[in-house]
Amino acid sequence: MSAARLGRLAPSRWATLPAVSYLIIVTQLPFLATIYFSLYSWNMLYPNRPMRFVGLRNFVYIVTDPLFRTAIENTVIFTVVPAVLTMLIGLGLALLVNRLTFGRGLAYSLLFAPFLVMETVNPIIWKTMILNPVYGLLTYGLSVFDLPPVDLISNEPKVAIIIMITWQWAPFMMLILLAGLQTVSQETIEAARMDGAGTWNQFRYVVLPHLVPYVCVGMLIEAILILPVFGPIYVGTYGGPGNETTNLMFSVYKTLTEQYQIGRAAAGGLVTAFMTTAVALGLLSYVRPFMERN
Amino acid sequence: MRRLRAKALSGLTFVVAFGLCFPIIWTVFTGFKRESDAIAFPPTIFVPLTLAHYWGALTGGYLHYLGNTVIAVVSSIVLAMALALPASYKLAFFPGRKSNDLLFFALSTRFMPGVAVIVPLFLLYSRMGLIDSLFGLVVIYTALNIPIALWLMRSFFRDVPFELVEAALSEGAPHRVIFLKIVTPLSKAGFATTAFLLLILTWNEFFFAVNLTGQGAGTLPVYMASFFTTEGQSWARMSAAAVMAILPVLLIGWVASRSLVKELLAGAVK
Repeated sequence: MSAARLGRLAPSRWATLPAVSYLIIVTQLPFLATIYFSLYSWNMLYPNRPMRFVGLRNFVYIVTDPLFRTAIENTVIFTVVPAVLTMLIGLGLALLVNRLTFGRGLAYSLLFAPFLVMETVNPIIWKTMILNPVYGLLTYGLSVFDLPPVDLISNEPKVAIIIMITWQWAPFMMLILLAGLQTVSQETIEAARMDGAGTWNQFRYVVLPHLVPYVCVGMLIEAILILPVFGPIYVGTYGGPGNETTNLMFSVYKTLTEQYQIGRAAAGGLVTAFMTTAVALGLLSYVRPFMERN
Repeated sequence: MRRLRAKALSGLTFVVAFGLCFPIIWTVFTGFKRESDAIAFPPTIFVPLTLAHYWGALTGGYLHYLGNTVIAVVSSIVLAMALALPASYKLAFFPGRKSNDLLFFALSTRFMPGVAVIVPLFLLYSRMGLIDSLFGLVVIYTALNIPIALWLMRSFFRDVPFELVEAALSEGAPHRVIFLKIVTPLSKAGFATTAFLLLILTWNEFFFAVNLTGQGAGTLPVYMASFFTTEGQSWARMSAAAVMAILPVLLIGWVASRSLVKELLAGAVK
């Protein structure tokens, strides 16, 4: 069939309309409204006080207020540290699973399970079963070696949150890297072996370079999805003690549902969106050359 | 020597896998214990077991929240598919100059953090009486599901040989028929994979659910969060409830995970 005839027979451009218009109405209009609200001071607890235009004052507040400052720092910490940890753990797991000659299904099922646990059940499990300083399995494990109990939730709450996020996301990274490992060219490995490369050198000069784009794509998806982490903080620590584990997501939630500061919450939401976009674009520009080469 | 090392590494793999899964296994086990055994120190293994907590979870609020979750998940997946499929079909077989822009626009809406839209949605829902309504939740979940459905189904459709579509077109078949009789039967695995992924993501969604619903339209993640605040002291009960909340997704994930990953990655690299 000629291209011209095919062009005439193609479905009309309206085919994409339902999806696009739905997305615009449900996500883009609220986003624009968020920008609008972020420029106003409005507290719903005082319905008599009118909305007042304050320009960028909400943003100034967010960057200077100690609570929000902590929240921004924590957002970075809770994204970067788990992303790096899951990459290292995921790589180790993927290398182990990849060389299994039997029972792969079982290993897959066991390793994949943490990723399927909902983000409100994850902190319940960790906080009560494992990290509880009196009855927890960690305390028991330490006591076997005559070590004193450690109360991570109270003393090192950030570490506790990082453990929860990493436990959930390491399987995800493992799956991505496993897919990468399965496409490593066996001929190249064989050639390297013939040339006398040991296991380490095969890994270092053949496998690892091949995995780089997979690592990048995995980190990109993870960064975007972990940055607005909410469940482990809500259930695990409720942002505390004090504000020690409050991230942007959680501080906006509190600003909205406890203080009813509409303008401030909107500004916080925009800062979060801005950070996500910056991270995504940064990583994407790094990933793109690899993606286009393949 | 070499074989021995390989065996040892395989053994290590299973030990590590078991260790990572252990929190879940232990939670399942704790749900069978009596309360006093659940908090015993040192932890106990050989104790009398009971089904009371799982039964209790079933007869408590669980079914209400399970029902809400199922309704929200299923309707948002069906709606998202209905809205996204025409676009997937168009972009898979008849991509235009703007196709890539469109795909990336869709994806960018999915990656926008919930806090960037929650304020106006919260206000609007309050005004319209949509707070704590399943309808309100489904509206948002549909928007969350569309980009993934659009993106994945497009890449699965591209596995269907274009010659088939072309031949049917030249015979004068309308797109509706081509879609239903040719493309859909050939992308069954793709449909299943996409639906599974959407199910896992929507089933576990928490941020919008906790902001916009309460006891009426709350889903299982909200239930678990509130359960923890009110019943945080009854560990065995809570373990049983937690297991019931994650079980459907765990089972589906276990059945589907291998093909899921294979299909997803095959789809992602195209």
